[in-house]
Amino acid sequence: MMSLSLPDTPSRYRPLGLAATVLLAGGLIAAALAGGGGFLSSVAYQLPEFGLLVLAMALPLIAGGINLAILAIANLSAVVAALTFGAVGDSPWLAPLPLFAGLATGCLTGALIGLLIAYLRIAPIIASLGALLVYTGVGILATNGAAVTGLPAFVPAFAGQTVAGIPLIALIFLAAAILVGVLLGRTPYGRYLSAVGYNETATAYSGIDTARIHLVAYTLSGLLGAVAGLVMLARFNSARMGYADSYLLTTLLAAVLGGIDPNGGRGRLLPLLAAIVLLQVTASGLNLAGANQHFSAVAWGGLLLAKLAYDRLRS
Amino acid sequence: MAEPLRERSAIRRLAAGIGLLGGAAALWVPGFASPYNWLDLLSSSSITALFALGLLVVLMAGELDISFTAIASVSQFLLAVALARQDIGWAGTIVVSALVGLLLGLVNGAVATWLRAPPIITTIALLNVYGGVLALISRGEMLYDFPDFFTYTAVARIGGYPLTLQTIALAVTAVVTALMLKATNLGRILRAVGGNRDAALRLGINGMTVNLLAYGYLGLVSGIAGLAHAQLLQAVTPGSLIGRELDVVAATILGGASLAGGRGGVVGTLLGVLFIALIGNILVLSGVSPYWHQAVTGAIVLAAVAPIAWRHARPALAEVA
Amino acid sequence: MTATSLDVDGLVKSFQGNPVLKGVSLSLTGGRVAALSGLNGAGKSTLIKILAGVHAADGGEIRIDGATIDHQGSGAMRRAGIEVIFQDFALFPNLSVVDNIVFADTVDAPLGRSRRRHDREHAAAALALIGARLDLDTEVGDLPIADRQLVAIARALARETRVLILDEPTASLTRSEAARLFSVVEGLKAEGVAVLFISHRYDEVAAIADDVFVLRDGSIVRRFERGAVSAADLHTAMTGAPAPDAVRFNLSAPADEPVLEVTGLARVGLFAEVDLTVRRGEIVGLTGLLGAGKTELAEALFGLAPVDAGEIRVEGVARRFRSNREAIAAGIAYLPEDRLGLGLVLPASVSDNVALASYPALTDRLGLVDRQRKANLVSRLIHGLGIMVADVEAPIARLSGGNQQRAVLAKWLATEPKLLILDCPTVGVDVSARGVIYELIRDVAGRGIGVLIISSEVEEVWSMCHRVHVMTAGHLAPAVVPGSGLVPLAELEAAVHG
Repeated sequence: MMSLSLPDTPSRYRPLGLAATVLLAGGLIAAALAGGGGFLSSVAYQLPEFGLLVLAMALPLIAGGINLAILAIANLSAVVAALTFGAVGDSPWLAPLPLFAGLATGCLTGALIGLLIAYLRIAPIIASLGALLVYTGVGILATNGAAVTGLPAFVPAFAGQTVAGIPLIALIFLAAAILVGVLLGRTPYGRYLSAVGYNETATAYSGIDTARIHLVAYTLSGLLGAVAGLVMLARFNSARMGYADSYLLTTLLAAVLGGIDPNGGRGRLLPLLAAIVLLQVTASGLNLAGANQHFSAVAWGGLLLAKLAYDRLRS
Repeated sequence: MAEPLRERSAIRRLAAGIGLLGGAAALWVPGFASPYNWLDLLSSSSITALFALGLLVVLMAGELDISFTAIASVSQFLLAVALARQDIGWAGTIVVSALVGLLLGLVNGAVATWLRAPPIITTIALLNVYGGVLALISRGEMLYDFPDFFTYTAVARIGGYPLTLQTIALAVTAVVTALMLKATNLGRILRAVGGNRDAALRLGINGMTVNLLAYGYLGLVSGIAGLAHAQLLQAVTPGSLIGRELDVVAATILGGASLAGGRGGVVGTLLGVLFIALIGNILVLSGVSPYWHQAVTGAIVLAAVAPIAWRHARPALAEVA
Repeated sequence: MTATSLDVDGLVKSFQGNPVLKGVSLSLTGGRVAALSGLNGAGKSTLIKILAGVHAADGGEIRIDGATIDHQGSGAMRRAGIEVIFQDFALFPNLSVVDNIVFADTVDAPLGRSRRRHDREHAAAALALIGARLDLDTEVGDLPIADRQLVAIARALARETRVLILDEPTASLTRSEAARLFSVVEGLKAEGVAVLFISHRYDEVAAIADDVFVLRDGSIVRRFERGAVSAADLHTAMTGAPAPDAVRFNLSAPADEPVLEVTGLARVGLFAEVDLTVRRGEIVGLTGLLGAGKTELAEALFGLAPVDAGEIRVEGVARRFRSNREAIAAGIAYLPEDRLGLGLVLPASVSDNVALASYPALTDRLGLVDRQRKANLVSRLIHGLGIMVADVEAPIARLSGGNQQRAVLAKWLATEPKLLILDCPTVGVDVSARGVIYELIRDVAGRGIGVLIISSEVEEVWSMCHRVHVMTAGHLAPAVVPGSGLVPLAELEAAVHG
């Protein structure tokens, strides 16, 4: 019947997916010609943190919400991990402790936003905005606004490690992406998440605990943010509130470009991955070409508006 | 008529909070009670208050725009460029700032309305486009060469105390906004559109016109805020205003406006801004790390919104039962 | 002064090439009430929206006192004295009663000064016209539904209203509220207002209308005069087919073992001492006036509301539900009155909708959805219920209304319920589509599921149910067995309406 025939590829994704693939291929070829393998490897090192943040943004968006605090969560988790490293010292045997502290920070801070949205029914923009202010404030208080450095040497070394030539952090991102993909595409939770994004009341009437769906979405968003934060910690060999704040726009852009309906409900992994790779390749390409960050801001903002306009014209 | 019931209760709670906080600070925080501290507080929070008043109008119509800091930056940059070429006087200064702001606000209104995407996403994109273009054109250089008339701190004096441009701009904007919302039918229309947009459209309201009005007004006020900011610092640094958007949103929400639309008022908004500024002021005067400010602000906004949200938005199932 | 006349002449309107109105003509006269009846999809709402100025017609004319209204728009219609009260009232919940009533003045002069005292007097006068006593400063969102309707009527009358159009005004009213509305309409009629009353309920039409226009497939197919229309005539005109007599359906005999036993159930202020039993394969009806507590009882059975006393047993096991999730797990399914709004997630696919409540039974050991089992379940139910669907992965919004109704049922049958509670299963359903629903209900009972039907339409439960309870002010009368030889329809009607 429908078991093997890719039932969840509605035709409306195809033109976009095709366009993305063509652009991607073009970008990769151009990049390879320009920079060669060095370029590809720089993409592979920069992509994981960005991709993880996009995943962190995607789940709340599918549920019909938004998480403006993902970067504050990522940085706060990295700060907590860095401070814990400072406390436990250089022993690699104790390394799981700071990691765990960072991930737990992400889960807790995400869950708190989820609680505000799910049980107090505060609008997601306000809940995550209030949380953003609190988390940033707490993070700055804990660090006096400075970068936390002096990490054990194995932390930055971790960022450079490869498995079969592929950076380890890229594999971490890939694993997270696959898990999110399975969650969205293969589990009941994924169906519930999408149903909540489309029509929460009807979903609740079908006996689904919609408050829990929100809570889990924001907790996972926090967890993914924390993983991104830890990747940044390793790559920059330091943690500071305010790192990579400009990613807020690009994560939204990647999510919307990746077929997630900003009004909630629709979202799948593969188009999302295509958008992440496409954007990172373009960003790295722009970087290589010496374009400055302001040019990128204009380009990303314009691209986001263009995608929204494209969707509007098609509907 | 006074403010509607829910707005009134927000005002009462804020006034009580400000009274308690101010009273306690006057007793225990050295330097707080001085009139100069109050004037300083007023001047420094006037920019936020200007933005908040403009944002109030947009929120009331059920919309959201967070690109106002970029609009203010663009308008103050163009103003500085104009002032560097020619002494256009106060009238010209105000017209340039207001027009640039209005124009960008109208663009925002048209784009956000037509796209039908959540306005937060649309205006985050616009914020980046405006901010990025400005940074590219200005190359990030600071402009500070202003004609003489622009450099006087006090525009006038009342009883020996200076009356700053920022204070005057805020007072005028507050009165104009209050008149628009209370004394003309526009206020009722904005509130109605925020309360039930679909019904308003069926009763003959043009949604695009209302949105252009709301976004345009925020743009215009942002242009004035850019002017006030440039005069306060006596310099225009592209991007120096950008990043304050979310604090303004927080203050406006604290003042009783709602993201769902149709709620809020001028008095509440001003009190919301004042409350947050007061906390910052007291923290600084009492020697506590100013880094507390942001965390406390976020916590207060959440604490203020939570009980209202809890009472008025029942769980998804109860809405149909 | 001569009476107002509104003439609609040959009105034509298409949407995306689909003709919705194909030359509608009707005329209204001041001091008379006209009813407009028609099935869903006949073009009623399009006609109303043109008269409200929301849409402009493609062709035809609207004349008020002989003068053609040129630029059809809400301003022109209002200036002509035409006011429409929409089914959802189109009120502003965050505005006061005054601000709502005088809103039209606001629209005409957006830049005008706001005149508080004038507005209050104006609003008070409009409310006085219909004898409504409401606090002028209350926010409309805080008023009960019936009072909101009064605000909507007062808003319409605050203008120089010559023609008043009411779109299914009784849909959300209790019977006494509807009676009050009718007396308001009679009063307006005496004032010389021309009233157009949209309704497809015969009892209402017969009670209030001087003329009855029947709209079918975008054209006025019949016009009746007062007293010259019977229920059968109206049905025939609306559907194009004669109405069946009220007949008892042949029902298969239920089993003996009960699925639901309720004893002494009470919720303070809503219902008390409710005893109720539903057996396997049995259809039990629960009827009574609006406000008798029927829906409240159903919600308590489904775990949507708490109970204060009494016991609920499902298949012999005592249960106390804290949420509808627990009720579903115990084997209870509930179809709310707003089946399409609350029952379906319209942008999601047919298969996701049908499976939505059944995922716990469709997962494998890893907690993943077993796609094969899901596909089998969906296809079994779609075929079993005769849902016409080309692609189960397409949004369910694309299905026809009737197929969507079946899809809601499919979703609940997928949970393999022991008891199915249907709240007003045919409200908002065209007369012609009701037969399908009745057939589905009998089919469900035939599978051994206990069915509890809640309905204000006495004839419906009389013809459909093995046993019927009448609920009055929170109390349940002992069940009667309907049937021509047992309890005739008229007797049951009398028990409900008193």
